Amino acid sequence: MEEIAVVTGGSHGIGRAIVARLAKEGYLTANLDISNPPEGQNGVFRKTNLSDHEETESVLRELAADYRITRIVNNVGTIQPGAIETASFAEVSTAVGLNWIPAVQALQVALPGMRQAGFGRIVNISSRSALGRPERSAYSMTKGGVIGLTRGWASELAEAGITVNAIGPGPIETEMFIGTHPPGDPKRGKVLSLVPMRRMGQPEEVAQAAAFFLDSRSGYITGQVMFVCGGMSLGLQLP
Amino acid sequence: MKEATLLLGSSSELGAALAARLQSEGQTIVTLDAGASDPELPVDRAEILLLDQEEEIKARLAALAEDYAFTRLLLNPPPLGGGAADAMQAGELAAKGAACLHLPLACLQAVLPAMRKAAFGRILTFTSFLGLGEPGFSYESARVSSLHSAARTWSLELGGLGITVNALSAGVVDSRESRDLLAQGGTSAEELLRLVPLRRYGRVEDLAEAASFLLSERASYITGQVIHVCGGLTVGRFGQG
Repeated sequence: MEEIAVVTGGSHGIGRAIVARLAKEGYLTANLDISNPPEGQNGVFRKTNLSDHEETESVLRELAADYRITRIVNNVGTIQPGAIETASFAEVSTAVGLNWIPAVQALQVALPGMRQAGFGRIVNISSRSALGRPERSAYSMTKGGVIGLTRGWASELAEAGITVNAIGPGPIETEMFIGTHPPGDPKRGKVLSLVPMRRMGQPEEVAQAAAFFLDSRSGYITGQVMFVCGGMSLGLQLP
Repeated sequence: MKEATLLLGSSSELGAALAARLQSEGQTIVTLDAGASDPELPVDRAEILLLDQEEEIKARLAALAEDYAFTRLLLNPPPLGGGAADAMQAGELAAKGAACLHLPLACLQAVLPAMRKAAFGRILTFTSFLGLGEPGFSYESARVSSLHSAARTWSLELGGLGITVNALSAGVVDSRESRDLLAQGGTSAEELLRLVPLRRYGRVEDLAEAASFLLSERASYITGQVIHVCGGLTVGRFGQG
């Protein structure tokens, strides 16, 4: 059975860059996304509403029937800016539903095949915001939770030859970041003033970290969080 | 209006120890829990309600905030539970995860107006070493890590108001809840004890002691921190003799 690397949310931003990088490395990829892939994207595409758990489950199961899923990049995510007072149950529920659940589903579907292969590589895209970011309660909580999932899975699956690591991107030039920090918005300047490198990161710079963790040679690294943040996490105590 | 402390999660042994300790220091305690707490607990009011009913929680919290000016908030919510990575179905995790992350937020939202008015607040979340990664506890690890991120985010957002937010992370505690939770994930307190440098279980009183300090006015320059009260468990894996 042919091996495949699943990337959720691979049609835009960081996910798109990861799919492109993995293709260049010679991996067959499966992009699960609600929107169509960019022109020229290699690999398999499955149009999937990842916030619909039943749909996601069936897409993953079909993939697992045709391929052996040995690598997963849990990239899909959603952000809800707003003060503590405005964080509603619906918002938290949406954040859990997209920042956690598809990752758990992808792992659960792929796990039997990974155990059988005695090999697996999982990369979870968290966020530098897990270290704290005002007016991001639901986002920073669920992205912190992704680090918790990472460490829990890493400890549980280490014996099976499966590594699980997380990446914490800082401000990356994607539709998501530009959406919450549009050009001209003072927030954009403020965030960039906190980045020692004084610039936004590029999606390809996050893909670099993902490619490293996914490499079969990165076999003794598990449960780690790599911040790709232009130095923004410097001076902070890490979790 | 009476200044008071809101304690979410009072039916556990830890909750009872916290209520007893803080009341002995003169605090007025109001508790919120899905289950009944010890009727002997020295609390001003004990509210029992289902913790996954969004509207009811909000209504009850709003009613409490009319009677009390809460300047201290203790968040000791129930755990998500143990279980292997493939044990919990997506639908169940989605529902439980949202409920357990929203509950602390709902409590915080209810007490914030009084804290703003007082220009003083102490928020303390009770978590555990399971956030650092243990086999059989990925869901609980996610929950704990979320609360640690929340402590950091809230400390940044509320620091200018004189409100501190911290998390108190426990090690292996000699309590019914701790033993039950560890058993759910397929481990035991006895098994973990050999990794504890201080060679004994944590007592709920050890946690109440640290909580008492972090909730006091003296602890006015500590915020956004995760304080491990764990007998050294989280220092490393070389604690075994």
